Amino acid sequence: MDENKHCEESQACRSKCCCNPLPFLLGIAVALAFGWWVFPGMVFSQKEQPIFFTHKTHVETAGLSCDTCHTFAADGSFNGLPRLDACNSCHAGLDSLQTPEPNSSETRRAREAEVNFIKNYVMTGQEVPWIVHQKQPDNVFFSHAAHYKRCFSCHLTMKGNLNLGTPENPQRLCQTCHPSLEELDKNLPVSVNVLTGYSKTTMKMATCEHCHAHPGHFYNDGKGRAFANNACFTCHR
Amino acid sequence: MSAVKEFNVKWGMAIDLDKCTGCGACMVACQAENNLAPVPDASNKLRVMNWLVVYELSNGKAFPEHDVAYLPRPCQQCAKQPCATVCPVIATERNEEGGIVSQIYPRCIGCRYCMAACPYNARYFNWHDPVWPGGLDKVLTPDVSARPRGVVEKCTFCHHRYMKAKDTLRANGEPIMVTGRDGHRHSNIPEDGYVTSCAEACPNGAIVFGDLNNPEHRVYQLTHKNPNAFRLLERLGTDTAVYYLSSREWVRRQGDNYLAHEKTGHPEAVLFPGHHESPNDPAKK
Repeated sequence: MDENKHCEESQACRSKCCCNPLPFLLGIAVALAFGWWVFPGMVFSQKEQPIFFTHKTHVETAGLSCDTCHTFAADGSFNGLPRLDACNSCHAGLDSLQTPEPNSSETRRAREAEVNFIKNYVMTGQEVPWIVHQKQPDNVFFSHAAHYKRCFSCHLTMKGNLNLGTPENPQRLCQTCHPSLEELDKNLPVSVNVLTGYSKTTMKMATCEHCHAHPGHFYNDGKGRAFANNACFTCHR
Repeated sequence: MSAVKEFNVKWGMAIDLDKCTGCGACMVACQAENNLAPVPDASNKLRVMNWLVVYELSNGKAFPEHDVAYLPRPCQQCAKQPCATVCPVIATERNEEGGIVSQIYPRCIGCRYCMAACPYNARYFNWHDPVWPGGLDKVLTPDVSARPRGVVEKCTFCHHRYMKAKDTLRANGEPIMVTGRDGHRHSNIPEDGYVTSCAEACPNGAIVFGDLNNPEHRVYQLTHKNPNAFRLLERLGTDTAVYYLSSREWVRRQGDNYLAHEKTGHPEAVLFPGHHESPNDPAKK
C-alpha cells in the first residue's frame, strides 16, 4: 500500500517537473555564466609590469631586433630579460631622453614612462623587477642551448610548413613557444594562477610534447634523424 | 618482467667498502645537494629522508676477531627495476641514455607501491611538507626541485648534474655521444665532467662514479674482472648499477642472503648460462 502511494507521488512529481523546463534552463545558464566569466576571474589574478614598456616602439622606431636585448650567454644558456646595462646604453639620463617631444596623449604617456624609468631605475641602479610570462615550474629543466642548437639546425632551412624562419631571422621558431610581442604597443597583462602561482601563458607540457612526442622525433633510428628523447627525465628534474 | 632497455651509457658506481670509514660526508653532501629538508623528528627512523644511507655491517664475532664495515647505499639504479614495474602512473621509469631511474614528483600519487617493491629500501615518502629553518632555503640547489608532502622520492645519481654536463657540451658545440677507441658509442662528457655529490664529497675516494660501459672509465676498470666486486642482492636479477668492492669475504657475504654452504660470487653464470663472463665464478674454479 505504502509503496504504491510512494510511486504515485514520485510519478506525479516527475511529470510536474518535466512540464516546466525553465528551472533547468535557468540553472544551466547560471552555471555556464559562472564557469565562463566568474570562475576564471577567481582562479587568475592580474598583475601589471612595474613600468610601461612597448615592444613595438623598440622594434619599429628604435629598429632593434630580438637578440639585441634577449641574448644568449657564452655557455648557451638564455639570458632572458635584459639587465639594466642594456637599457642604460640608450636611456642614459634625463638630459638625453629618447622619446619624442610630448604633443599627444600617447607621446605624453611614453615620455612620462621614460622619465619614471630613468628616475626610479637608471639613476638608482636598481634592476627592473620584470614579471616573466613564461617562467617554468620548479620541476622543469629547460635548456635553451639544447633547443637553440638542435631545432635551429633543421627548422630554419627546411621547406614548407616545417620551415620556421631563416638563419638571419629565427623569430618564428622562438614564437613556437613564446608569444609574439613585437606588434604590441602596451604591456601584456600577466595572469597569475592564484593556486599554483604560475603565469597563465607558461608553456604547458602539451607544448613540449608537441615536438618531443612527435612521431618524426620520437624514434632514434640511429641514422642521424632528429631525435627528441621523450623520457620523463629529459625535461623533469 | 618487461624487456630491459639497453643503453650505450650506463652510469654507475663502485664503492670501496675497505676505504669507507663511515664518516657520513656522502650523506651530508647528498642532503645538501638534493634539497632534503630536515624532518621534524629525525629519531623516527621510519620517517626520515635519506637518499643515501650508510649502513654499519658487523661480522658478529667477539672482540679479537671483531670487524666492522660501512656500506653507503644510494638508489641502485636497477636495469630491471622492481619499482617501475609496479608504479600505476609511470612516475618512475628507466628510459633515457645513461640508465638512470627517473622519479617524477608531480606525477607520483604517493601510493608507495614502489617502496614496497624496492628490495634496497632506497625510496622515501614525504610525510611532511619541506621546511627549511633559519634561512636554509637561501642555499638550496636551484637545479633540484623541492618535493611536496605525499610523494615518493629517491636518489637520482644527481641527474641535474648530468643535464648540466650535457648542456656544457651543447654550448661548446660538441657532440653528446662519440665513438670511443673500442668502437662503441660513449658519452662525450669527460669522466670528471659528471660526478655525483656523494662521490665528490667522499674524503677517501671510496665512491667512484662513471660509465660502466666505458673501458676508459675507472669505474669500469674497478668492477670488471674484479673478484672483490659484488652487488647487493645480486641473485634477485635486478642488474643494479652500483658495485661494492671489498677484499673481506665476510663483507661480500653480507651483500646477499647466502646460505651457510653457498659461496659468494657472480650469480649470472648460474642464472643465465653463457650470458655473463664471470671471473670469480666458483663453478669454474
